[in-house]
Amino acid sequence: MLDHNKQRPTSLPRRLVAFIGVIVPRRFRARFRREWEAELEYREELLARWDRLDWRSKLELQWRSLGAFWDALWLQRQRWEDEMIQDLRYGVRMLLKHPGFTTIAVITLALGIGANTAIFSVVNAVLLRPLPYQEPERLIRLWESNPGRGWPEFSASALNFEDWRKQQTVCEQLAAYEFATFNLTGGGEPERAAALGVTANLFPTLGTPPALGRNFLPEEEQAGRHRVAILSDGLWRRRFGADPQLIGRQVQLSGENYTVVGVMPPRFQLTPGAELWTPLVLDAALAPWHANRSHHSIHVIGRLKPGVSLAQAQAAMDILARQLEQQYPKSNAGWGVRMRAFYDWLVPEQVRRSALALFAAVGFVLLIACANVANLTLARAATRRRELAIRAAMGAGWTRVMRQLLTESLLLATLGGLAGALLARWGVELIKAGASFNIPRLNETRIDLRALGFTLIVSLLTGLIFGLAPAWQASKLNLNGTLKEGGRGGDSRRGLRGALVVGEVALALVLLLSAGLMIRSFANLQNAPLGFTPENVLVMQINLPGSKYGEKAQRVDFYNQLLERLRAAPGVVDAAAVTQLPLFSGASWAQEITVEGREAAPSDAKLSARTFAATPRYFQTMGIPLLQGRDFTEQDGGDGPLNLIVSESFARRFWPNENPLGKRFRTGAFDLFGTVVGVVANVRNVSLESEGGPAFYFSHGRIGMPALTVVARTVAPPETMTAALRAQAHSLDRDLPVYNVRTLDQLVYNAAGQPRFQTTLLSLFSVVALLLAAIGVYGVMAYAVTQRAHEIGVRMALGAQPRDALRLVVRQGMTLSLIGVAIGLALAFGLTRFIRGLLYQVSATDALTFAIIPLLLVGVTLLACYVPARRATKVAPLLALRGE
Amino acid sequence: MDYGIKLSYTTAIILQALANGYQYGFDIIDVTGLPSGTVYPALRRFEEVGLCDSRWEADDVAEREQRSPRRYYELTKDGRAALAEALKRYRALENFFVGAKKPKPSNA
Repeated sequence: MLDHNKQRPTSLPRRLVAFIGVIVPRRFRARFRREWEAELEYREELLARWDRLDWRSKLELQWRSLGAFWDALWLQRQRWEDEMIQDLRYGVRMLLKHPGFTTIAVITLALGIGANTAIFSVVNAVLLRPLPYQEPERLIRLWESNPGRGWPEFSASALNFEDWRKQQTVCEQLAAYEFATFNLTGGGEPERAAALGVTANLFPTLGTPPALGRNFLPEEEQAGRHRVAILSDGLWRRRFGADPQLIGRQVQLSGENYTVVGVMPPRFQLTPGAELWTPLVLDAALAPWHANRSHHSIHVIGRLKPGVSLAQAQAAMDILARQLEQQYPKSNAGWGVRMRAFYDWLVPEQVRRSALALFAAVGFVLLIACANVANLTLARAATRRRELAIRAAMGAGWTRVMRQLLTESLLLATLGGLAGALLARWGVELIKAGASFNIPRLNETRIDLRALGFTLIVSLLTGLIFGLAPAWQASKLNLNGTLKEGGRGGDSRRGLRGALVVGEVALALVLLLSAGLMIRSFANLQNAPLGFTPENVLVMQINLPGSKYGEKAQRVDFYNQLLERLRAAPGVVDAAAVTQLPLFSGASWAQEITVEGREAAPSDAKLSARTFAATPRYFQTMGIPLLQGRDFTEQDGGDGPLNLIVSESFARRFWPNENPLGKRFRTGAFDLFGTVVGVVANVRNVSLESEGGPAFYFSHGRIGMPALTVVARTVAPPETMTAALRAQAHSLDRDLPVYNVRTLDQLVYNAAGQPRFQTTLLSLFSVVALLLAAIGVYGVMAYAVTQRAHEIGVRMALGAQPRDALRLVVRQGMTLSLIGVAIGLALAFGLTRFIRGLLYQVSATDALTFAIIPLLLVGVTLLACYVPARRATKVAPLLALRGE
Repeated sequence: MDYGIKLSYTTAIILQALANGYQYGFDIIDVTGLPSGTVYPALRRFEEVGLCDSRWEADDVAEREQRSPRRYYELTKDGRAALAEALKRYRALENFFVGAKKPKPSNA
């Protein structure tokens, strides 16, 4: 192409265009100038031909060439995109050029981001996502409450519930449910289905209609019309093959025909495990216990009227409770009403605290990962100083260089985020599978858009955090010095890297200490005396249907026969049955008792104790030591005098310095005095942490409960006996479901589910933190050794021993580590009290933990220093000098 | 149809000018009377969304007239479609440049 410009005189418009061209992005600049100049030139030709330098045309031409400015402005838009793509392309190239650095950085970030995403998903599902009900903030849970007896939240009695329902003014709806179980027979193996009896308005109160069919009708709460059922989606699919024709058909529940009227939507869950719902019949003819105002078995849910606050509602219900107290002093004295937001009930404090502690822990892991990558980037930036200085010298502004570095960091963070999202998906499955206990709403956990959005934000923030330090450093780079120095690092950089390592060590220590406390607490829990011997015991549950075993004698007879057969079975040492096993956290049976001779004492006016019905040999089978007196015999099951066995804590509480044998107390259920014939050791009835207060046992034969848990102590591992023992039950009644067959060991294992879960996760995170911190220390020291190789070489040449070089490096590393430990200890003293609520018999500042863990951390960092220090001792003096 | 651009009256005028054979920025400025600060950004935008293409004048033509080659713009198929749609809206435009002198084709 010819260059015509040289032949042309330069006019003002042409100079204007050349000047405006400066602000055009470089990619477009040449074309921009060429086009505008050609147009002006062409116009000059025309103008020259028509009229030489007419001032108006000239002005017009100048005005027109100013349009180039708008054109140039419009092209500005491209500049950012251009440079960004350039930065990205350059960034990708840099990352590919250093695969080692890239891999380590991405893995580190993936660990941090992945752990965060996984735990965030859980926190999101369990704590953040709104409950799947209509306007869940208006839903409340109501209890009867008896603080005097230490029962702040107790189920309500049917009669009280009915009075509430009639007289209350604060709720739109008041609904109730009661636990029930059915034997599901017909069409396949008989099975046991956990169920709820619910008032017809329960599902409307929640705002969740059945997915198929209809709701219960109010008249179906009446005896006689109550044989209708709504199934869970799971049961409907599993047992009935998701048959839509099932609506209107009949199913057999505990020997009676029920018509299926509806199927609930998938994932609907009010209480864990419930698979079907039937109308709650409060009619005393069908459920005699509902006529007793002292029988507390009803769970109440309400929907507040719009605009009514929880406090207002509570105040109104308090007044109502006081009226009932006056009206029915015998049953209601001391009983009030307590209400809580539905959410607070569904997601208990303990779970929330645990989830938040884990969330904090992964936050720490991510911070440590950030510090590590920042360190790596800084180390690399040091070797890149020359490159950066050259780029700056070539005219790249500092903002441009910073942007380049940030782009690289963000690129790394994005890669880490992608890998982290994959890790998180896997982690969530692991968490779901690993939680052997019930975390409310955990089944709703999944990596959803919100979690991915969180990952994205975390990744970008991460990139900013670890990218900022090197970029900031770069901005302070001294151009001339760097070019002259040959790219060797300065002091401020070393300071920053040291600070990062100190931070890492401090955070890692906090995590390690928390994990240490958790482990101690968990160990205490594992060593807590259970009061029974769980090894080699098989347990199974049986519930005799009322249709076939209506008489007490039939039930007693069945269990006697079954136990006899079990005891005779090969490999069985002993067998017995009880109403409720230890470590049962659900609703249990407690009774009012009156100790003989103390009826008048006001402080003992209303006492209660956990109640169990047991067959003879129960204590022996379970390995519960009999401390005094004797076990039940067959005679105790008859209608003769009532004989009772009490727990040690029961005896100590009521007869502290007396022999409890022969003492008498009256129980609410029998309304007659019973005599203490034996004392047994305390048993962890409620949980591993808690015994649940005084307990007493009576002989099963006196009432003949239909539902019992059978326990059998075996010679061989109990798992191998399952089929044989089940067969014994079926040999007596082929249609009887035998369910929840487990070993007692499993039961104990599951009871520690939540502590084990949080301890495992926290330990895992703290190990990751420890590793990352060690890598951080190693990285900094390895870098320091290369940087100081020259200095060390000179020292060696001047007669220093390898030992001195070793000491030099180790001292530098350990100084950082010890400062980190000191800060970490201070932090931990402040922070571990937040997990106090999760600890069992360990103080949040447990001396042993606080002594050992820092030593462990110091040891690991020492090791991390030692490797590079060894390398320093191998610096050959001459080589280091020649390197100059 | 979405042409990636708002079919305003100004847009339509510039498209119509291009369709009638006014191919250079300055010519379009002349014939439409629009300021250069409007015409050029519009042309860039057309090119970006594919309503027009740009090329450089053949060297020999420029050399014959002893000046630099100019950049000229041509409507693409999409550009013609966009114009057709704009004309439905602004009927008066159809005859806008009728009778105006047609510039000679420059790329012989």
